[in-house]
Amino acid sequence: MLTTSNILKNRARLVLAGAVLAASLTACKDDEINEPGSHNWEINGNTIVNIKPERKKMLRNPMTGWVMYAGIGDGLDDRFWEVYDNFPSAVGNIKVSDYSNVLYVRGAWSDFNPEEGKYIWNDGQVDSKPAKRYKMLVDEALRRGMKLAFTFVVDSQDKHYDFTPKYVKDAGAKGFVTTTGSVQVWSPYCDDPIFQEKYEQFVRDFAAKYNDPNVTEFISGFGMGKWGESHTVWYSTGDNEPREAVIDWVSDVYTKYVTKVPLVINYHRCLMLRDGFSASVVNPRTEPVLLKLIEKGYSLRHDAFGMKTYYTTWERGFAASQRYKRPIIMEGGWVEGSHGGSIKDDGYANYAEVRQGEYNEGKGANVNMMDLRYSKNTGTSETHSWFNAAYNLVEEFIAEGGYRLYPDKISLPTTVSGTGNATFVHRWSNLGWGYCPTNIPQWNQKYKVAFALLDKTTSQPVKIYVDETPCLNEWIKGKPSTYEFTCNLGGVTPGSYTWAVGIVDTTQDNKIGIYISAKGNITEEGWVKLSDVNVN
Amino acid sequence: MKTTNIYNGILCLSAFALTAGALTSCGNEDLDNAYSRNQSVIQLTTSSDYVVLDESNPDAVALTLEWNEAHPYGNEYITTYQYQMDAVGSKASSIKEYEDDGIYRREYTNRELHELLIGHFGCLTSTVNTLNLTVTASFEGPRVVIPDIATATIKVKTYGAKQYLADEFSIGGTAAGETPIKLAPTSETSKTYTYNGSLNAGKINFPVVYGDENNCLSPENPDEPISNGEMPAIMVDASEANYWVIPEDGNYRITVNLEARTVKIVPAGSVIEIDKLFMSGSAAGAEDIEIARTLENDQLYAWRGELKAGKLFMPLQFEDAKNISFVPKNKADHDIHDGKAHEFDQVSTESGTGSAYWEIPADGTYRIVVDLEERTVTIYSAATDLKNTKVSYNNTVDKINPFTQEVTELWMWGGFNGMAHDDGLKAGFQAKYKLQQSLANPNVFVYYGDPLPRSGSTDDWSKVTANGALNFLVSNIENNVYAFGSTADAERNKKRGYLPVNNGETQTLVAGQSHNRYAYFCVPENCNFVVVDIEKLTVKFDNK
Repeated sequence: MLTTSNILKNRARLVLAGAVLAASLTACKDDEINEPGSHNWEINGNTIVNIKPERKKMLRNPMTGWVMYAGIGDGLDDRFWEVYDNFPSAVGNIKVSDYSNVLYVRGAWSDFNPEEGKYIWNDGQVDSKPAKRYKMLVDEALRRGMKLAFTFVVDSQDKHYDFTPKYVKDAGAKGFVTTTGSVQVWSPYCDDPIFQEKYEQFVRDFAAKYNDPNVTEFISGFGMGKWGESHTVWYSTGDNEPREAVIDWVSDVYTKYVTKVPLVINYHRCLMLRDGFSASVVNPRTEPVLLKLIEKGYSLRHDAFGMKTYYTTWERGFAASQRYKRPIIMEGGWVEGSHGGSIKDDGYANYAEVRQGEYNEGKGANVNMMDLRYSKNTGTSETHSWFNAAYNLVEEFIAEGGYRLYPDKISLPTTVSGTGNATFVHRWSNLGWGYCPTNIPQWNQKYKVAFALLDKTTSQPVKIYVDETPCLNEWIKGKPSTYEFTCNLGGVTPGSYTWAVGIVDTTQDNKIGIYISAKGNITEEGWVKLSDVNVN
Repeated sequence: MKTTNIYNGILCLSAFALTAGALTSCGNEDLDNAYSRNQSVIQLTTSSDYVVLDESNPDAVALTLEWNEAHPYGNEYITTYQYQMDAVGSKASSIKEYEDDGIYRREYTNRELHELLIGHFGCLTSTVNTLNLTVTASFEGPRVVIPDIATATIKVKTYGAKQYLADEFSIGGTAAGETPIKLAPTSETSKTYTYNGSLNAGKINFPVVYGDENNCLSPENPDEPISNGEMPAIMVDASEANYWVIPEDGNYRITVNLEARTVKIVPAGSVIEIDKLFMSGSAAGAEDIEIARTLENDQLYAWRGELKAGKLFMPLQFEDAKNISFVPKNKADHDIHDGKAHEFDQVSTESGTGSAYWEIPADGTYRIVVDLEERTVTIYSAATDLKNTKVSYNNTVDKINPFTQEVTELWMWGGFNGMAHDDGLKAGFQAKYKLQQSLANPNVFVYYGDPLPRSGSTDDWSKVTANGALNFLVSNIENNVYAFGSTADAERNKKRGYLPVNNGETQTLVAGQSHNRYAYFCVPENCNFVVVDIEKLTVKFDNK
């Protein structure tokens, strides 16, 4: 039972926090979650605005939604956008980019950086097919308002050419040779100092351009081991002895240079081990190593969702332990074009069932993002089966997966002095099963709830008042969060304005950073208009 | 104090808000107990629990459902309504809709509901379907509140083409007599119905009850005469049904296949419908014994094994049922006519095998051969059983001369398989290329499987090359073994002979331990069927 004194204490604490605009981030501790009880919605001079949720639209919000895959090798169709803009689906031809926020480019380090100091993202430095493909992909993705994600694969196992640039080997890096079909390919040992020096140089130069949250959504993995998935990793010692030193080194490199963009690591049981997957053995050091990476700021991904051998009890348990601590990105494991009927071993009759299996597993892990993997053979691509055999799940994930934030009720003043205080009570819900990961260090609670006085003619903010108290990462489906916020208007010219609410990026001059999932009158920039207010 | 709702279409929750406000003003004490957090007040009502969709009136409202507001838990709680529709038995995803506009009602026209059932849920036309409707009110707030769930189940009949399905199926018309003859499907999952018995000269069709429909399987035109083949049939309303005409009284066999939409009515005994053949009766024991179809001849069935003294008849399995059995043509004659082919007849398994059967005279080993083309059965006791052919040759491997061997296996050997071999076998010998001895005739050996490989061979002496070269050996040790080769000109230590053959051709075999061992057939492409008769000394290569 909530007592009056509890209510007062709680309210006082929130009001205080709301009043201090530059409140410390430590305000977002678990013990700050509202106690059960009531809030004073009926403030004299205020009106209550009820807002309806918008449940279906694809909103271009960060770290949520479908991820569109592409590569820059010969496996990519030069007509990528043409094909993806006329993609067959259960509801007719669609544009895949209408369903996705992110273009994820996973490719060979050697394609990104064929010569030392030369990078395909720098105009005129590299004249290669991968460079042309990269430009074709990236220019158009950015034009469409999508962001980019990257993995740079170092290891050449199972590949038909060297994925590490030749200059690394020429500089004396030690490595190993494997055979793919009739081709012999070379990969560096991950503990080799020359390799490490060159790799750090690459990450440093990459970050100089792409450590930009306006352009880059996330950087995924270390790119080492087979398929860049951080397993089956070769070390010069022939065993796993260098494993943790290499993890420390590479994670230090990334966190040193990539400070504003989420970093992601695979949470499989064989992380950076010499051996491949073992169904029965979990390396005892895997979990401590992962926890250390998470502590450093890494978010999580797994690339075998729906594969019942590779995504199993341990993986489920680990994902559950990190729920709402770090966002999880899902990639399915089964590949229609190459695995064919093997899915029957997992009890799937067809790829519609595979997609449903991946979806269920992803939902169970509260994933923020799902994959639309690419194949040049469109008809057997994962993207094709999502859009044709499981279109309802594509829409369902947009509606219910990741995060989708909205305030259902806001109490706000209708008349206020231009130099006086305004008090708001606002309640927020998350309609998605994932969460808004403002607690990752790269974001550092930069997204905040803000109220704005809009010019009634231009709908542009005249003044923005940021409530520092709400921590968006705490907004979990089924648990609405209510806040009271009092601010001083700080000298606003008397007149008639419109109150609006938004979620702003405090690192970018309080521009809208996250679109609210609300129906109603919303400005082009993303402010949700609430009610008129007279400032006197 | 006022409340503003920035909703599109102002069907707002004003009543709810007012009620909520009133509750809030009374304090929250009455919410904080188990009872108040488990309010189940939603009632979901439908305009009907059985809806027959009307194709002629597509825009008329066929179904309306409404529910009332959930219990108001006050200002601190968000109430969310979700409406859901499922069709029982459908694998399609549920229809789910959040109701955020305060419209606690759904309405469907005939066309809307029909298209939903057919297009989304994959239901059948002209069929009664069960729909489950659910409204769930979820409450989010400071304390956990159990959702309020209301459900309704209704039946909806779609319109459109009639289904070829039956809950009840019978034979109707004057040919069936005064009352229709009810039939059951041949199995639970089958859509086939069979009948063996008497019919009167007269008219016949097949009344069907399906859901609430009285239909009839009938010919498209009135009074169509029956033919010996499968006749197309259509499902119509019983009032519009036509008839086939049975020309004369007699025993008939009827097979109705609703899936294929065909009816076959033929005089009993004129056709054999068979998927598998079995032996039954006290001679066979508790379980029926299958008589397998021979590889060499689809019309020939053969078996060899132990039988008990006693009664024997042969049920035919067709469409998962064993309604018909083979019995002696002379039904009073129970003798097995040991080793001699004699005619069989078809009777109802249920009613005909009590008096018509073979009497196996004593426990022992028997061989049964059934020839559908000749309509004969041959039952061999041990005394008359067919014997394996014996060959005699100089066995230089075991150093026995003369060595006599019963031929019970025959191996294809030569360069055709690139001299591949199984573990433990000599070069060129693979179990999959061993011919199977026929149970109908021990002189016949058959290969039926994947197309034979056609690897190349080069004659050591003449340097002639050939693809797909093989002959037939009585053992998987090729040295000096008795062989069945081709008629190609060959001579030991001088030249091999290669005889190209075509699919479908019968060739002559040359048997012995002489130069014939170096005379090969060159199998044609896509040859997957080889029949060797070592008595008639013939071989046929074919694609089957």
